Amino acid sequence: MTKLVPLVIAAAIILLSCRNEGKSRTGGTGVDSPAIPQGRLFIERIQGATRVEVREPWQNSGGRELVWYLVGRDSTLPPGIDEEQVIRVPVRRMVCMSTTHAAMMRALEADSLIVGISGSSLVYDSILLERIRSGGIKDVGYEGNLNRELVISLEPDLVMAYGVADPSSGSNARLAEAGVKVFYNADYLEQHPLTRCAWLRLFGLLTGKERMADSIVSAVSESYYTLVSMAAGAEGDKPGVLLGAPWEDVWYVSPGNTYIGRLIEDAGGHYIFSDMTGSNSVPVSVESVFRRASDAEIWINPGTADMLSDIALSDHRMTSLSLFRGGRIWNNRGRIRPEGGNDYWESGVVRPDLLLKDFISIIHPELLPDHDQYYYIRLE
Amino acid sequence: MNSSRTRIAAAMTGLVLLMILLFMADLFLGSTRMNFSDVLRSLFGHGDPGDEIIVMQFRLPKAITAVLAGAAMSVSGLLMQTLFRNPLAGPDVLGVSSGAGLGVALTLLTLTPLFTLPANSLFAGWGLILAAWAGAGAVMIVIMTVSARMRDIMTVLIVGLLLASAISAVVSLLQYFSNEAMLRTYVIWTMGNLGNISYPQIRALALATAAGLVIAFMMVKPLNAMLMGETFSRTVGVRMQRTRIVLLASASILAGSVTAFCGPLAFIGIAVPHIARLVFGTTDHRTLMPGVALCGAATLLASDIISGLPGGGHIIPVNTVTSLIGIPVVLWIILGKTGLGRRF
Amino acid sequence: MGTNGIIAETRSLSIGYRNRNRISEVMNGLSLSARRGELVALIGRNGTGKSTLLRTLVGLQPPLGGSVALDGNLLGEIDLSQLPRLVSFASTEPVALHNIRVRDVVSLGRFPYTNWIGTLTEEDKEAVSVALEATGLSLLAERSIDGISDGERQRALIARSLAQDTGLLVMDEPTAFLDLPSRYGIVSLLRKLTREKGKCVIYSTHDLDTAINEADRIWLMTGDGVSEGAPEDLMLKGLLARAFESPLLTFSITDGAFSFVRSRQTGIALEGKGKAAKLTARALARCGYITDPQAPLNVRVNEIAGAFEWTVSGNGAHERYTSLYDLVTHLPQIVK
Repeated sequence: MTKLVPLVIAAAIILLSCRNEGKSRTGGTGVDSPAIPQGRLFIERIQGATRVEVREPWQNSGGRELVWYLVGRDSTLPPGIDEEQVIRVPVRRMVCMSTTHAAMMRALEADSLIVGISGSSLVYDSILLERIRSGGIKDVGYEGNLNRELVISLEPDLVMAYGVADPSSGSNARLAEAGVKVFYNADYLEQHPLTRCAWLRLFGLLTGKERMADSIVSAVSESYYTLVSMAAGAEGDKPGVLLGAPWEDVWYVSPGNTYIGRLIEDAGGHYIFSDMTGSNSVPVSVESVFRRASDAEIWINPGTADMLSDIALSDHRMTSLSLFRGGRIWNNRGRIRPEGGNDYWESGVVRPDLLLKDFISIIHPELLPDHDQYYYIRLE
Repeated sequence: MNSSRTRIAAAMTGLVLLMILLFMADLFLGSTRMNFSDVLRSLFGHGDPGDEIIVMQFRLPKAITAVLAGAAMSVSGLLMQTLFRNPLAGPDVLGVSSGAGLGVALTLLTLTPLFTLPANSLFAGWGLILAAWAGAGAVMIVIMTVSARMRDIMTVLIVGLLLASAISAVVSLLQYFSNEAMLRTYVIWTMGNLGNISYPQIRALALATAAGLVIAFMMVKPLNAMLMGETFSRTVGVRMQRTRIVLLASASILAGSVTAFCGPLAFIGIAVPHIARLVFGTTDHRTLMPGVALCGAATLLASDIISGLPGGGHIIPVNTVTSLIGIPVVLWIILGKTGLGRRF
Repeated sequence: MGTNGIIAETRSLSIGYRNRNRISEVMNGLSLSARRGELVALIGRNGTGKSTLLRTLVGLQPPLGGSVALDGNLLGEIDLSQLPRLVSFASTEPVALHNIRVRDVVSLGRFPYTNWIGTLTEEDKEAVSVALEATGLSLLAERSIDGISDGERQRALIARSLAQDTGLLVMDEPTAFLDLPSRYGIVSLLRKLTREKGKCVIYSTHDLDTAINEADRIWLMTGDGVSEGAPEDLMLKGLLARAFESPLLTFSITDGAFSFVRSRQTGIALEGKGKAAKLTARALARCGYITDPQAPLNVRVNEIAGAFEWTVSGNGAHERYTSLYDLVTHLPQIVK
């Protein structure tokens, strides 16, 4: 089961690339499928380098743009480019601040380049876990608790980080001061599953595996849109879907325009709080969520619950919901490790089409009667 | 004599009526809109099933909790103010709420990552409450031991405050090493919460509150003597060591239980006794104790109503509301020469 | 029941503080007594241990050695619930008392007699009224304690002790911070309590005048110990003088009071009668003149139609003044 992910990806590539041969690398996949929505990542080939731009790299960055230039190891720097913004490719040693980044490297089979990771206990992938256990990948610590000396001693060519605020402050800035190249990945802010997956292209450019990355992205995108068309043909009303869980009489409600909201809509469902806008979860009284939940038939991602009793213990009032007794409560705990790793955040990001399949089989089971949910389990 | 008797009687009656009014208002004015008639029908079992669940499972437990927690925290504060002869004392000087916070922090911030699967049951239901109770209880034992050894009550006060600070430092450390999700759950706990308390839990809270209030009320005579100073109390027959321990125990039971179920509720313990002194115009604990309990219940009911006011499901955390009420009162105490500090 | 009406007695009492293993003794070998109906004033310089003695006497502090007996019973053997009915104590502990009526303050003195919630029986209320009347506070009974004067507040605390209905009342500096009339008022009240109610009152004070004049017994505390006796006994033995005299202060047995040591005593002959003569002698003494019939300078005071007149003769001068102030301010010029 653990080696399944790369196998599935490899199989998908082989099967689907047969169809994609000859199509262009960048931009859209085929003439049949719509283009992947443009996100925050902009890639441009210029003379002697690849210009990579990340717009709005963190929340409330106010129009900020970060630019890097990927230059071949043996190539000369094109004129007018500052050495500070240059990343020499292919990268040989990388530190990943998120397990998602590591998963993308795994998808490209470039994971041997990873020398450090943040939060090693939360890794799902078995190959990565093995290297962590054997000491090949070191744990560099968490967000505020970054072990800077360790990172520097690993001599990485690149630290793949994600920005939460202006990088001029914080531990990432200290790294930059010490001469370590830091990239601010914004994939977690992308609101469309395919846009998030498309960041694989960045990793492709960094590791010299652009073709592989493009193939995977194209294949996934096409598969995804095929599924969207299928779901669009579902009969009847769109079932209401509830997200999240209460805690201490407060329910942090996700706004409608997040990537999971997108998945629900694409799967032919209706998120009951889709009218909620904004970039952050909004604290709402449990009572009002309760009211709206009467419009929902399906409950997805109820916090960390593995069983119905977990929900009941956390807030006994939920047991009065007809939704609770309806038996259609699903959580993304299908592929987890006891220490906390969850493949939903790893290969799940690279394979949004599989995610969508799960969602369709949850929301419109009649469309995929034989599909066994991959990332999701039904709560008993 | 007669004039203050009538004032007291009037104030008591007024408060009881106010409390009933606020209780009903809390039932009618939840965070979602419901008609008066729908609420009434639900209370008597003739309502729409959806409405009935809202009223019986959401609003009624919350209102009852507000009454119990308000009374318990306020009386706990009154005991502390008399025991330490300090108008700014409150249940938090005992470090009991910090102890509860430590128990919760240990459970949420450390045990969970270590025991991921079983943690789901630790998270929920009674696990967290028991952890908070254990933390509060541990601090209570420390404070009572110190009190038994130390003659000077001010030493006990300082130990309580230092203990609270030390625990705070430990919790900060735990927060530093935890991840975002756990941090958020802990922070939300510290904001206080009157909802999500099941009827069995309400029964437990009611029991603890009743026990604490009964013990406290049995101490009104020595409490009144203590107003005249420790020397007078001792020469008139009060056994100070014993009395101190009983008072500390009662205050700890009250504050510890409330914090275990509802999280730390800010400022209620400090501010309400002063409001009561103002309303009743007396420092006699025979009047003040029930008076403080009533004022506390009314204040917390009002806070709950206010926290649901924004509408559209949006809520203000309970602690924010109680702070907004309590801080002006505390300022009044400190700043006013004619303020409550003098009335104390 | 104590023998000879003795209500409080100490035998070789040693007082001080015990802190873990450290013992700091303030004084030892104290053998003192006080009788029913007696007003006992404990006087002594600051820091000698007056408070410690009083607190040990009422059981607030344990003795380091020796014994205390109240009404014939050893202090250590008296049941803690009975002790408050034997002795009451009023201290100078500053307590912020607000928003409480005088009557309620006094009622707290009934603490040892009331039930668990402090309800007053008719008997209790009677005791409170009696106490209020004895201290002259009946009219102020319903007022709030922070709305009366310092002297009245002190009387309220005494009334509280009185309401406690004990044979022995012990008070630590009840006249502190009071003005002169109030001080006299308090001591006269204490005097009345002993005479009319038969109480024994032991009180500490810095107020020597009233103590010497009103107390039946003085406990004089010095660095060496406590001497006991009627005020005049102590004066006769010269103990008072020895305890308080200093280069600045001298005790006059005839006056029964302390006065400043006067330097520069020039002689002046004084003629006159009655209070005018006495007061003139005082004024002259203050300014450094002593009465000496042989002195060359002569001052004569005359009363003429209700007013007074001073004539100074001698040293070639002959002056007349209409006030003592004028007399003493002009004298230095004449003396030369």
